[in-house]
Amino acid sequence: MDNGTKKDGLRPLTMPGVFLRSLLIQGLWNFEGMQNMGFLLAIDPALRDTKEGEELSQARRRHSAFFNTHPYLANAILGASIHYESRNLPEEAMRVKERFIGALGAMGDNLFWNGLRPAVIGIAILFAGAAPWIFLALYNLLHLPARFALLWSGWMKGDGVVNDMAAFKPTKIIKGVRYISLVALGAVLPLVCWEGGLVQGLAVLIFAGLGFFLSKYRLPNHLIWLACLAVMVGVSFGIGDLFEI
Amino acid sequence: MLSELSLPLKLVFAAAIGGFISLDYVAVAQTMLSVPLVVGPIMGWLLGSFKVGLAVGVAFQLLWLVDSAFGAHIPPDGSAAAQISTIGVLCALPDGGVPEWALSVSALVAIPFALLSSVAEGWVRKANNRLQRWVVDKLEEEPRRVDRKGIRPLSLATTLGILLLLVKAVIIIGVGSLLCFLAIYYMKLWQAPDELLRGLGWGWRMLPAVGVGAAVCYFTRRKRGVALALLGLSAALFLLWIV
Repeated sequence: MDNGTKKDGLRPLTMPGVFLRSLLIQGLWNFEGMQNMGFLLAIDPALRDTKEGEELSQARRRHSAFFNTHPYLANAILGASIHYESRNLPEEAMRVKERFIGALGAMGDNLFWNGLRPAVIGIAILFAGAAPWIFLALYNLLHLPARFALLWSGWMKGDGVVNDMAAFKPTKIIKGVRYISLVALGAVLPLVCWEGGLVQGLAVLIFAGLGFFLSKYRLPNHLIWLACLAVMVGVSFGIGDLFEI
Repeated sequence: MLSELSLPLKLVFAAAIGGFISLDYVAVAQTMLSVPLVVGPIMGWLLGSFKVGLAVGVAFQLLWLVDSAFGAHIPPDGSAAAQISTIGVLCALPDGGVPEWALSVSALVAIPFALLSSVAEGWVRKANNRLQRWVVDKLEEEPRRVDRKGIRPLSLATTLGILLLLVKAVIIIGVGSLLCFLAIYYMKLWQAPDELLRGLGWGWRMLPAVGVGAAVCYFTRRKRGVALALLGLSAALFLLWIV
């Protein structure tokens, strides 16, 4: 190892510690550096294990720079940065950060926020009273091991972690969970909104259709609902007990 | 459980618990404990009606299903809305039997607070700018003092940032729940016309429908998307018909 490096490797409990700290990666989210402080907080134990003195101070300053990606996939970059920092290759560590934050951010948003999460929610709601627990169990069984595996793989392989991720064919997964979400959402509609009766069923379909068309024009969902509510109150005053039909 | 406490204590404890759960929304772990589908039933269970909490949670979950916090975008805080609505309704109508108009009224109060919560989240993030600048300055100025046992200014700043979020969530949930309680309570006293209550009740049933429609629109790239949603719909209707 080059000068400034304290040890070859990390202490046995460092990586589990880094993982726990990575759960706070958005703890100090700010508009200037975004997740920079969370990243520094997470990587710090690994830096302390491998560097000291001025080298450590420099590494900390380096990793306080701007950082923003998906909070789950950030662990891949975190692991890869540790891989290079522990080999005293700071330029490589910074290159990995700059190169992957955008791509992993977009992928994570599509895969988790608007992929797995709505799909699992849709499936869970079909189980009525058990929905919260089924959702929590399924979703956490998927993302927590993935976060740990990404950190580990990044630490072991550096930027090779990206190949590991690509092996899972994320674009296909995103496409698949979107299809699952659509079927689940279709199934959820009558279970949640409909209590029987032709007119009520038609009203549900009409307002779901309104939500569909108006959200194309980026109208917020709550405003669409307020308009629906006003219509419903108006109909109730004007026509009477419509849903009895 | 909280349902046995007096009203002020109930509101304070529920807001405090809700505030802690809300930290999961962005700042801590994101294990989805704070999503409406989960936090609604938790609040409902604490206040004596899991079922009401579940109904509220599912409705708000579906309303803002695909409106997520991407980067600097802060969506309406569905978690706060579900908590405010559940707490307000169950404080105003503690002996169960919650009518749908009350849920609709609670949503009318909770939605502005969900929007306010996202604005306040922006304020906290602006305050975090200062905290992170302070940490960076410390790293530049006194490298030796922060060397050994981790970065104390960073730990302190992160704790302060999380505390700010906690205070924000507790205030918004507390005040929102109180206003929600008052709205339902006075609506009950007022003896509103049946037509109004009926219309509000119908409106409540349409809340998740609007969200489902918007989510289907988001996922639909081609006509195949609508066909898949219709497939799900038909399957559910077939099952309901059999049952």
